[in-house]
Amino acid sequence: MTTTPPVRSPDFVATEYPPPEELSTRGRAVRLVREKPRLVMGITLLVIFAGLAIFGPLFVGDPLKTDPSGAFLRPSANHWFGTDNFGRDVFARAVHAARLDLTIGVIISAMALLVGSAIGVVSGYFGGRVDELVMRLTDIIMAFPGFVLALVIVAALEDSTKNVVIAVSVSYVPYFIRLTRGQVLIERELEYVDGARLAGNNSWRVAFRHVLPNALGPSIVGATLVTGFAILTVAGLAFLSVGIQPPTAEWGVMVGEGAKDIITGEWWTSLFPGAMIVAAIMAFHFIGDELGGDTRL
Amino acid sequence: MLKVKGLDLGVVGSPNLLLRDVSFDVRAGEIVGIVGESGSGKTMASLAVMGLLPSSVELRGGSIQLDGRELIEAVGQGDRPSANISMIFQQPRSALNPTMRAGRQVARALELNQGLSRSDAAGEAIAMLHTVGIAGAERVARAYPHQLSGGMCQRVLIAMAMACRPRVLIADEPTTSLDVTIQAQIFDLIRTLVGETGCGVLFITHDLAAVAEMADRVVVMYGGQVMETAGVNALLGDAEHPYTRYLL
Amino acid sequence: MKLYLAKRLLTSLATIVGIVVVVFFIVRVVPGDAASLRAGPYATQERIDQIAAKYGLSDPIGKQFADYISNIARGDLGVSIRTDQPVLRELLDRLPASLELAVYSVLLAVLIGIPLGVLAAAKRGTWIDNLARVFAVVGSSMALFWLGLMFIFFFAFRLGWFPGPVDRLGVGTDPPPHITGFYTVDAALNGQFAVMWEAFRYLALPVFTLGLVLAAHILKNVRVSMIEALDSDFVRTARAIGVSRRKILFVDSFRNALIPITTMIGIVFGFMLGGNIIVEFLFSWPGIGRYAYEAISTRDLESLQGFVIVVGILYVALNIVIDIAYARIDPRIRLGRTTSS
Repeated sequence: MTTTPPVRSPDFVATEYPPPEELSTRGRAVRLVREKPRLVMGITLLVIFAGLAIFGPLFVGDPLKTDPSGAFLRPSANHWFGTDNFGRDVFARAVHAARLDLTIGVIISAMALLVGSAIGVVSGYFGGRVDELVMRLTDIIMAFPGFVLALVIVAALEDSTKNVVIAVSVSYVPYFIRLTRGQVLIERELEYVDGARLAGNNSWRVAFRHVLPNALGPSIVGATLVTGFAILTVAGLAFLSVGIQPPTAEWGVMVGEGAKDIITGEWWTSLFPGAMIVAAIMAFHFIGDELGGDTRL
Repeated sequence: MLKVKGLDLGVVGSPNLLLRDVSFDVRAGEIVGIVGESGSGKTMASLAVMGLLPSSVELRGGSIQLDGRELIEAVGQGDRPSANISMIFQQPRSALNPTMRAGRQVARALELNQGLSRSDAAGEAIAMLHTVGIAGAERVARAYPHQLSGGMCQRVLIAMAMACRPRVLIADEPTTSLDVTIQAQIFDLIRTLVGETGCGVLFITHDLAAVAEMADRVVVMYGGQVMETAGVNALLGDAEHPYTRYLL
Repeated sequence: MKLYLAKRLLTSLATIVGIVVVVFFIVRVVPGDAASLRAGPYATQERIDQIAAKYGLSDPIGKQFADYISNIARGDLGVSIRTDQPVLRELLDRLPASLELAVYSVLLAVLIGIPLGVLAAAKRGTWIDNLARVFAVVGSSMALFWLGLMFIFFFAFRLGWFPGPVDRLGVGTDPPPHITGFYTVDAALNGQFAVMWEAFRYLALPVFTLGLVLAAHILKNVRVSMIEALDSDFVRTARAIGVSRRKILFVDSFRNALIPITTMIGIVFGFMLGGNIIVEFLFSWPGIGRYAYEAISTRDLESLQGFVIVVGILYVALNIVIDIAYARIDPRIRLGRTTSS
């Protein structure tokens, strides 16, 4: 018994499915929002913050300018976020803080990524005793909660923005070492590595020019998450008056100064900067999440 | 006994059809092979019969009947349509729960499908492991899946499937990830079980040699449609459809 | 399993040694002028010399290291620059306060996070799941110091439901007789229920701050682990043999999800050790986190050194406990990988 259902085209290898609909750009955008709302939200937030950070300081007032007579003004049309105890415009400070914090976050993430992935590639590719040593060291560094480690490093140096960046970068290096090394272990078994070796490249060239670029995938995704958490760490340290100090306009510094004002009921000096921290980190979180990052950090 | 007619399956939210007008039968005691490349829809068809479709896939039409009883409603609702159809899958070790002993997993199938008590099921499980050709069934029953070889795991899964006393056993590429020697043993096992219980088998594979060995009848699928259905000898000897000829 | 444990203990020991060395490096080797850093910006030369002499900061590094190691081996974590008291003693005095806060916070986090995570995985794609995911993201992105501050503002100052951030008990209340160091437990054991109630009221805001943020992390983790289990091949098998949806959720999936969840709890505790400094500072909680803050703000590197070592050791010890639990849950680790055919 043979059944031959109708075949649409004369050649049996033709596709049976109708061709995908042609979508306009607008239609595609709508579908993106519907299918990946979190990614869209993250990117939107990021764009807003980036805009604020890059262009904001051109339009707002001086974040350091004090005005004792205009202290503790409530949020109004003149001062969107009100003024603080020195009469400084909170919104102006918050915008400048956005520039500072986002820049710091990106720098920390980039530095940790650079150093971590370089070490990770060497460790993963060459293996052996070097690998053992590196793994042992990362275990030790990861035995400290990141915040505590950064805290101690800044304490050993002096309070400054530069030192905070160094300290927090150091605390994230192990994360990137692990990510890169993990990927390198997979990559080095692949055929192109043999090809590169046979072509006469020495090991270092193979490791850095061929394997590393392919092993960076998870690390790049991780970097988006790390940017957010780095900002959180820096702000947290600043809140404790460690690292970045007042009167620098930094979100953590602002919340730290504003904490005292809470008792007398001036909520706006701490609420707005803090909210911006959360919003900024959420942006990185959303993006990193949707890109497939393992947020089980 | 199992009659699938005109089955249409689509992706939710898209007009594309994954399966189009798929029909085949499986009778008692016969082994029907479904052959096709990856993506031909052979696995989808069997998942539909089992009610194990992923949530992104929906039924759009057709009928699935077992011994005259229509199962399409239950499949549409996402329940297990019939306790009389069992299925075994491709990667046997990952198909077993890593934190549960092998014997317990078989026993559970017995408790759920034969209404046995816990203690009865435990004993019967060992018997079933024996039936599927496992020597030292007691030791294996106490073992965890990671301690067993791939072939052993597949036998455990077959035991679990047979514990449901199925009228139809669907075997989706059961030996693809196993050794050739083990493959022969599993084939023998399936044939023995067919002989002993009279169940029908839907044997899914991309390997024509396997089909030649096992099947009584063959259904050829491509691109979500049935291309040809014939007795195995007829098909191998003198296939009608150009795609079948291409496969051969 | 015995072999596995022995290995873990050995590596943990090595890690602790490493921690001790790294801390020394950071605290003694890195700073430019160790003595004046510790003496502070307003110190006289006399004071700087005094500190240098007392802590051996002018000695050659080798000798400093040897003294350091031999001290630690004897359990001597040094003496605080600020208070002139032995650091270990000061830390141990403050540890119960931190532990009480930590335990209640983790309890709250687990009670919220695990059920919600399971629920979100079970009802994947529904509004429940989406709400849970929003909570997870917001909570994980949350700045502890800001959340705590807002809680204080709303619930303590504006609404007056809870007391302000002063301590573990009100000014006029004496702590209960010491048994465990947990005020809530000790008060209950001594029948001082009014004190117990007050202790809870003072615990409430810091516990909610920490607990909610931790809950978000836990929820995220549980949800992902459960979904992995639910999408797995063995759950498909379970469905094929007719296991009910409820059983699949709680028996098949959860058991397997416990493995990554246990790992996560280790991470959670680690987070808390860092978070505790901020929360204890904000709520004036007299624990080791607060101690660390005081040390840092006075550049008391000797106390800070002790704190970090203690925290590092606690973390390593915790990880061993987690690993033991891990080994019990996962038969692949418990029994080792052997294949029989």
